[in-house]
Amino acid sequence: MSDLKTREFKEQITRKYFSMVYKLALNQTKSREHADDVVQEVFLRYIQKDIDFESEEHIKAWLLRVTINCSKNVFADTWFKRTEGFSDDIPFQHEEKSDVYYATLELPQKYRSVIHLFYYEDMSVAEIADCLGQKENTVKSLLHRARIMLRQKLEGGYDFV
Amino acid sequence: MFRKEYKQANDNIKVDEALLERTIEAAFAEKPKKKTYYHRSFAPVAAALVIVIGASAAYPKLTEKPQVEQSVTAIVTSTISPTINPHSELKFEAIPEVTSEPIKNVKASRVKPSKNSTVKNVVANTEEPRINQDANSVVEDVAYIPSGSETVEAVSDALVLPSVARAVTGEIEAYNAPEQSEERFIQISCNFSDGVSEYVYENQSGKSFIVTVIDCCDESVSGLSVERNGKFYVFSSQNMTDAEILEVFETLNI
Repeated sequence: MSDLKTREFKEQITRKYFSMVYKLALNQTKSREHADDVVQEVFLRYIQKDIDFESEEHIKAWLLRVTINCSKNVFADTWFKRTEGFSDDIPFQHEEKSDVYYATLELPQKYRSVIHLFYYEDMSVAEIADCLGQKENTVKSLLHRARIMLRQKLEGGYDFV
Repeated sequence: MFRKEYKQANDNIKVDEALLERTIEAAFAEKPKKKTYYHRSFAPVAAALVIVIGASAAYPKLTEKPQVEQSVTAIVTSTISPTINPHSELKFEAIPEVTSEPIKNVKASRVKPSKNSTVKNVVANTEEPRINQDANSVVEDVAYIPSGSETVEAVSDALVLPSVARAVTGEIEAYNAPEQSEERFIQISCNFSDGVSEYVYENQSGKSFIVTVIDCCDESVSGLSVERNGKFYVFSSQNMTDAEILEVFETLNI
C-alpha cells in the first residue's frame, strides 16, 4: 500500500485520470473555467492529503466522488446560483457540435452525473450507487427519468442501451 | 446509439495539457500553510461575541441611577466676624451625589441623606428682621443675620435659605415652618471645597434643593436677590450697583 503514496505513483494517477475528472467536471459545471478549478481542486486534495487507498479502483471511485462534490460546491456559491454555465465555450476538438451532448447538459445536475457515469465511464448501476453514496434503486430511477427527458429533447428515436 | 454518440462527443473534448502540468506542479510544490483568519463558520461566533460585549458595556449604564437635582446658585459675601475663624467652626460633610459645579440645570429629585450626614435644623433668628428694599428683588423677605453669630454656617444658611426656599418652592413659609411640619426644610448635608459651599436641603414632603454658595467679599449683610437666565442669585449686599453685580457675574462666568 505504501506504493500508492509515492510521488511517482501519484503523478502517474494524475496524468491517467486527469481527462476523466475534467470531462466529468465539465459535465457538472457546464463551464470551462469552473471545470478547470474543480479539476485542480480534486488533484490537489488527492496529492496533498494522506489518504489510505486500497487499490487503483478505489482511487478512481474517490476521484469521481470528489469531483461531483467539488462541482456541487461551485453550485452552492451564491453568485453562481444567479448565473448559468456558459456551455458554448466547451472546448471541442472539432467544430461539429453534438446534439446528444448538449441535450445532456440541459438535464438537472443529478441526472447528468448518472448519465455521464453510465454511458461514458461505462460504470454499472452498483458502481454508480457506490460512487455517489446512493441506493441502486435510486440510481435506476434517475437513469430512467433521465432517458425519458432525453427522448423528449432528442429527435430520431435514440436507443438508450 | 446514444452511448456511441455521447462517447464521441466527450472524446471530442480537448483537455488542456498546460492545465495538467500546472496542476501537478502546484500540487507537489511545498507551500507554507495559510492560517485561517476567517471562515464563514466564524460569523455566528463573532455575532454572539458582539452581542455579549455590547450587552456588558451597556449594563453599567442601564443600572446607573439618574442624578437629577435642582440647584440655585447663591452669591454671598462673607460676613465673618474678625474674632471668628470660620473654617475652624465649620463642620462639613461630603455630599455623596452632588458635584461641585456652581451652576447646574437639572430637574429636582429627592436627595437621600448619607448615613454619616448630620441633620441640622436651621433656624433664622428674626429678632430684627430686615426687608429687602430692592424693587427688582424677587424675594420679599430676607432672613436676618444676627450679629455675633458664632458660626458662618448659620450665617450663610440664614442668609440664603429664605430666598432660595422661596425661589424653589414658592413658599417662604416652608423655611420657617414649625419643626414638626412636613414642609420644613432641613439641611441634610453640605460640602465645602475651594471657596464653594454646597448645601443639600429636603423636607418630608419630598421637596429638595441644593444651594451652592460662592463667597464674595463684602461687609454688609442684607440680601439682594437677582434673577438671571432663569436662576436666582442672592447677594448679601444690598448696596451693590448693577455694574458691580454684572462684574461678579462675568467673573464667575454666569
